This record gives sequence, structure tokens and C-alpha cells, in this order.
Amino acid sequence: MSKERFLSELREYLSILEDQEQEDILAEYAQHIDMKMLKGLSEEEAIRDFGSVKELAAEILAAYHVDSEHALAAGRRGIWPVTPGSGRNNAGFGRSEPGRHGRGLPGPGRIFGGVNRPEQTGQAGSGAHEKGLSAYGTEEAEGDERPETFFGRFCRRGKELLLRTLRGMQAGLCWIGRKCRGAAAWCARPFTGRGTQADSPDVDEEYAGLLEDGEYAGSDAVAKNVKDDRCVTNEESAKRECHDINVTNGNALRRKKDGIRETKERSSAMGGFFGAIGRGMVQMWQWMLDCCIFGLRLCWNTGWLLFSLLCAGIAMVMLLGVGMTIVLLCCGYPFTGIFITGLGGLLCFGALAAAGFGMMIRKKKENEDGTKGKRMEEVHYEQTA
Amino acid sequence: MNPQFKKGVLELIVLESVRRKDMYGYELVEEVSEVIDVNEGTIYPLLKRLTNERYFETYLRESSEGPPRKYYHLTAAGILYLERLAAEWEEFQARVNAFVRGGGG
Repeated sequence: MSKERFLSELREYLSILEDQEQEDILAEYAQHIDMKMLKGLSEEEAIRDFGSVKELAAEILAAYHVDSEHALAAGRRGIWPVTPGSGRNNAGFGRSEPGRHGRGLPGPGRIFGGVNRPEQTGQAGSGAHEKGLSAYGTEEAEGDERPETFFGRFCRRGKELLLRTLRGMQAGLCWIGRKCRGAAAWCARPFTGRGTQADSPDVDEEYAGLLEDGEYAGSDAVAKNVKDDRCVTNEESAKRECHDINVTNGNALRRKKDGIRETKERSSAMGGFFGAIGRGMVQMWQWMLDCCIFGLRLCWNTGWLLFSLLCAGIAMVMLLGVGMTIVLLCCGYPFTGIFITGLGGLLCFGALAAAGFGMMIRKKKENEDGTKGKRMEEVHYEQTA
Repeated sequence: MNPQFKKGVLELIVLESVRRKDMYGYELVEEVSEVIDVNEGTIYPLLKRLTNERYFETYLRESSEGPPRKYYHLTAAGILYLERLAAEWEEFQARVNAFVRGGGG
């Protein structure tokens, strides 16, 4: 097996991982192969020592707490589900307690899973025969790599062709979608009569860093992230990374900017009469909507006010009753229970009335203030909801 | 040698090697191969796992012989883990030896 094929196969199996992680891993193996070749070994000999690519990938995935059984089996179908508890996060690292194996980790028992060369072990590879890896019919269960058969080659090439076709179709559909979106936006311009600049505040913010030569101004944060993620102590390497990232970002932004500028020029030419009609209709619709909302809110507020007044009235009656009960108690009548009930009722209805009136008063205060951004009707709705 | 034996001690050997000196992958493979005969491809997943578990940290160092090399350095957590592992190993091999030589458990 050649180095390129080894790395491409390994990349396929590891495609569930983050791109950065994949590159990291593949770079290590590539460097290892190169060093072995410098010592006089051929490519095939250097790669043979790694054993089966599939089992190697399984070991690597296990380090990320990825269920390698499902991942590798799904990889053959071109689908990469991440199983629950896989621990995969944005950093591509699986967390575990600093124990021996961590959550979901198979333990050192898998490390030698049939990967040793048969002449070294003197027996069929033990770990490779674990149920999980051989469940989906690996041909490398014995730990040594068999030459690819015609059928295997046919299947592999068919799969590659299918994946390429699907990717092409996806790209085509995305292109069509973009064009349709642009056409719809162009058709809608006469009725809105507005430019597009205000529609993309996020792009405007990004423009701030866009330089004339197309390069993004970049940021220290990018440099820091690159440095931290890669643990690069060499400033030149970090700067190269940042430059690549910045050029990519800058080119993307410049394309976006050009696209929006072109749309704006077209839309301004179509404003005028149709734009005025459209704006009028929108305003009339908004006015009708406001009227409806005002009516609803008025009814709601009136109902709430009446409820508060009712509660206040009941509270007053309770207060009168409590007062009378106190007098009778002092005269020796056994009205303790009635007194307590009256007091409880007074407190309850008094609180309800206070809550309702409190909201009214707060509403008034905030209106006078004018400092609150939210309208009071919205606050009222939220509180009553 | 029985691969099951190697399975158990590979981690300990790798940790101890890195504790003595920061190493890059190939160098570590060579160092470990001097102690036990191991499949080279299995070292990197082990290094990755130990790095993910924060026992190792990595950094790049320029090399005159090619692209920058990724060196592995044992963290404080790694040192503690190594010490625990070494202690377990000492106890384990002492008990096994005692049993095999007929001294009982």
C-alpha cells in the first residue's frame, strides 16, 4: 500500500473527527513514514508496520470516545453518526475523568487488538477478533492486510464515484438555490424600494476589517486561537496560519460585498411609483394592526382594572368585619375563628388589589419616564401570562 | 512476548519515557521498541488518548530535517497518574511473582 493510499483511507475512517484533528493525526503518521523511509525502508515496509488501517482508525477513534463500531460501519456507508456519550465536542476532544480509561474507553486491551504482525504474536490477533470490529465483516480480522480483490476495488470505486456525484449535485442545488434567492430579491425590490445595506448589519460590521487589497485586517484573537490550538511556539508558523485564514475570510467578504453592491444598484433604479404604493400599503396594514392591538389591550386593561377594584372592595368589607370582630372579641365573645378568617381574607384580597393597582401605577411611572424600551402593554401581558 | 502482557505496560512505559524527556512520536516509538516490541501504529492512538485526557501537552519545535515536530510533554496530572500507575505495577508484579513462585497470595 502506498503512503497516499494509506493516508486517504485513514482520513476516510477518521472523517467523523474535526478537520483540524484529522490533519494533526495524518501529519504525524506521514512524518513517521517519512522518517522510516529516511532510515532506508520502502513506503510499503514503513506502512506495513502500522497494521490494518481500519483497526488503527478504531484505536484512534477510541481515544476520542467515539463508538468506533458504529463510526467505522457508518463510514463505509458514507454516514457518520455521533453516538450518545461519544464525548465529541467542538475541540474534538473527548473528556473523561483522569482515570485509567475514562468514559467509554475500551482500555489497553484494544490497543493490541490483532494489530501485531502474526510472526510476532504467534497466534491469531486477539483484540481484532473482538465482536465489535469483526461484526461488520472486516476482512482484516486476522490482523494482516489481504490484497484488495476485484470486487472490493469495484465497490470502493463505485462508492467514491457515488460520493463525488452526490457532492456535485449538492453543489449544483446550492448554486440554483442562491440564484433563485437572488432573483426573488430582485423581483421584490420594486415593492420595497429600499436598498439592501441595512439588511446585512453583520456584513457591515465585517467590512470594518476589509482592506482594499482584499485581505482581512485580521485580529489578534485569530493569532491567539491559532497559537493556542496548535501549541505553536514558532511565530512564523502562527503568522502563516493567520495569513491563510485572513485571506480566505477576506476573499469571502469581498465576494459578499460585490454581490450586495450590485443588488443595491439595481433596486434603486426600480423604486419610485411602485415603491410608494408598496410603502403606503404596508403603512395602512400596520395602522390597522395597531388599532386591533390597541382595542385588545384596552379590553384587557379594563378587565384587569375592574378585577382590582372588586378585590379592593372585598378587602374593605373584610377590614370592616375584622374591626367589628376585634371589638366583639374584646367584649368576650368567642369570635376568634371569625377574626382569623376575616384577617386572612383581608390580606388575600388586599394583596390582589395591591398587585393590580401596583401594575397600573408602575405602568404610569414608566410611561412618564420614557426610559423603558418595552411598552407597558407587553410587560402587562408578560406578568399576567 | 505475550501481547496481553504488553497491553498492560505500554501506557506505563510511554508515560515514563516522556517523563524523562520530551519526545516526538517517532522518537517515542523507537524508545518504547527498545523495551517491548510494539506495533508502531498503536503508539499514536495512545498518545492521542493521553493528550485528550490532559496527561500530555504538545508543542511544535522546528527541525532542521523537515517539518516541525510535535513534542509531547508530561503534565502535572500526567506525573500523578504515572506515579499511581507505577505504584500499582509494583504491587501487581510483586504479588504475581510471589504467587508464581509458590509463595501464595
